Amino acid sequence: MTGLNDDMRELGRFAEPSLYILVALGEGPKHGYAIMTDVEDFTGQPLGPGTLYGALARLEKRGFIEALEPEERRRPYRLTALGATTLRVQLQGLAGFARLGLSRLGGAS
Amino acid sequence: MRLLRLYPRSWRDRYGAELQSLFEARPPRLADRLDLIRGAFDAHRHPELVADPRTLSHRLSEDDVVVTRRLGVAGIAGAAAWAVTWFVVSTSPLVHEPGGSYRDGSRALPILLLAGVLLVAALCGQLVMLPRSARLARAGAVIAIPGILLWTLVPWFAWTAAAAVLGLGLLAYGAWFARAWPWQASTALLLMAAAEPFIAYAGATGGPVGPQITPVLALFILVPLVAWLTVGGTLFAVRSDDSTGLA
Repeated sequence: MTGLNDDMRELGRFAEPSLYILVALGEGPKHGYAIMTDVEDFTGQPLGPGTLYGALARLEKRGFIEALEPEERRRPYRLTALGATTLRVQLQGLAGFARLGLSRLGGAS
Repeated sequence: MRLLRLYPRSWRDRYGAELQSLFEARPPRLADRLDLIRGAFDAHRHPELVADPRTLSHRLSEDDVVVTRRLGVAGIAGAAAWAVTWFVVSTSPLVHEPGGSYRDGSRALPILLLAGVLLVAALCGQLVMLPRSARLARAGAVIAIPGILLWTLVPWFAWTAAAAVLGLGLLAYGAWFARAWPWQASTALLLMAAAEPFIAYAGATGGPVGPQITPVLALFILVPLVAWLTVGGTLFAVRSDDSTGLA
């Protein structure tokens, strides 16, 4: 996805799902199923369970999210300070890209 | 959920209950099942993503690093011993027989044995360093160790060399698959393991071996240097923040 910086791009095929997960966790801790339904709501695309947990493992490994104590068998995840900063930088990059694209589109019409 | 069995044990221990809970809330569809299969392959490719205290995460102490790097130096020194072996062979006395002449390299056998022992020492270091999850790489080292020792004792038995090369090839592929080695090191050792049988075959079928160093013989000598340098070099590059197969 154009506009992502190296922190996310190095996640390869997990970059985009990881960004969605970070956005989902932006409003507070969520467990896997809640993340999955939230991502599906705001992207309109289902997030597969293998992709979800592959991305969660990568985000946890990089310190962008952390696992909380399990509630029964569901374990919530939350953004870390590093994850929040990274998400902010990514979204600002995407916003800049969107502004650029829209200004060019405006100039062409 | 049977598909979860495709995942490594460490992965199931960490995420299995969460996934089961997720499937109870939303039974998996066909696309989810395919995604799980793809995810299982990824989980095997990246065992380092899930730190399992029984298999991976064990920080090396400074003493471990010193010992491991010394075993790496032993591997690299083995490359020198291999080179000296062939220098001694090339300066050995000529033997003339009715079928042709050759050099009597028997006095190089102790140096060849030393080269083999040094490579085996480095392979033992690899067994310690490789994560438990790198089963293929560890199996390769286990195959290569007796193969190398036997080959240096009885180098005229080709099957001993075949076992050594097969083991080193498995070690290289397994270490790459488990991301325990940089791809450059695995590629170098894999190319060595793939090329050396052809070089040996070309040498064996190219007519009687004479006293001169031919291009094929030069390749036969130079290409295996990769084995000592790779197995030793990857150990020598170990740092204290690396993890180990010890648990």
